[in-house]
Amino acid sequence: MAEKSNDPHFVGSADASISKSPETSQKEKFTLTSEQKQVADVMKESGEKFEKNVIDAREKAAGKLKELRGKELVDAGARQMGHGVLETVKAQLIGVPVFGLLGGIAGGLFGKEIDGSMPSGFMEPLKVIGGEFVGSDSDFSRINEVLGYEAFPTSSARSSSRGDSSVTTAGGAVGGGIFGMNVGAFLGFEMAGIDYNKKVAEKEHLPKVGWYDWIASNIGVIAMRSVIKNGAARFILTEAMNPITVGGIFNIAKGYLQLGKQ
Amino acid sequence: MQHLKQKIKETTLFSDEDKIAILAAMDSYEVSDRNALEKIIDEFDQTYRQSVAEYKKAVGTTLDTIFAKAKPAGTQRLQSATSQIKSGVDMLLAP
Repeated sequence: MAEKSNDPHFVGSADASISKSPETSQKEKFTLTSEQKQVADVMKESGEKFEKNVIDAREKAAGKLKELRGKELVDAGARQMGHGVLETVKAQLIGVPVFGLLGGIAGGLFGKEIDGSMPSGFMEPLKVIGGEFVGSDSDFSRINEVLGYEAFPTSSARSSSRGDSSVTTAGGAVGGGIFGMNVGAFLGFEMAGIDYNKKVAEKEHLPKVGWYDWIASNIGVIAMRSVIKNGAARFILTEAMNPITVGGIFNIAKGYLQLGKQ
Repeated sequence: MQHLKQKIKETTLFSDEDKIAILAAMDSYEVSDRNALEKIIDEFDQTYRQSVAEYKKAVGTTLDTIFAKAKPAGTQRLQSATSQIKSGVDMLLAP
């Protein structure tokens, strides 16, 4: 895991350590209160331990399941590897196969809402993450259609944008959309996907992402603030996802935001 | 057999898809495999429950400390905030 900044005005998540460029101005920074930081820290530290315990337990179970004779048991064992708390929480979501799309829609809404309010350096790692999480151009098209604006570019545009930081500031809706996709995926706990951590984070030397990061993150807080205010996003989340899961996320986010009020 | 089926339905070890496949094939499993499966589920669920409890305890302790240190003017806000976070964690990590 990347080292966390001690600066209480850090940009990005406590874990994501999104780097600040020297030109990042004070007004672009987000402030955590001491109480918020304490909660973020304990959630991150305990979350890491929690995640490791569950992954270890799953892998132990996997080894034993594979020794049994039933094909279904062996298959279930094979699917345990590397899965942590994420898998359990995800099981609470309704309609997992379509969640990628729903997450994208909700994410696009967040992205549109916060578009233009994020510092330029903030977006770049998220664009990479977002790009990796989106499946096909048809997924993009479907999401764009629902959103009513072009939140997501085509694959060729995505490829070219990765090496060009100016796109972040110039392509407001695109950057916001991909950021939003990332947040939407994050709300579905997809952001903590094994594929991202193994294939992208290690290869690109980006920080790994855990499910617990969302609360430790300014990204999560800002996104949740958007969710709560945005009627359409709220509708999607409450109608399409398990209300218990959504309620849990909302309660944590609301409490966390309340900690920040003076 | 019913007892094991119930455990399969309730465990956090398997996905819903795996649960359906295992339950459907349950009758074809040998007794030794069924016994082994039950033990595997028990071990995992115990670890999971324990890990959830440890996580909640760590978060709860921090929230309680924050509340205990609150100045009188901020007591109500912090009580509400910490309660919301606790209930959110409970909901999110409910079995």
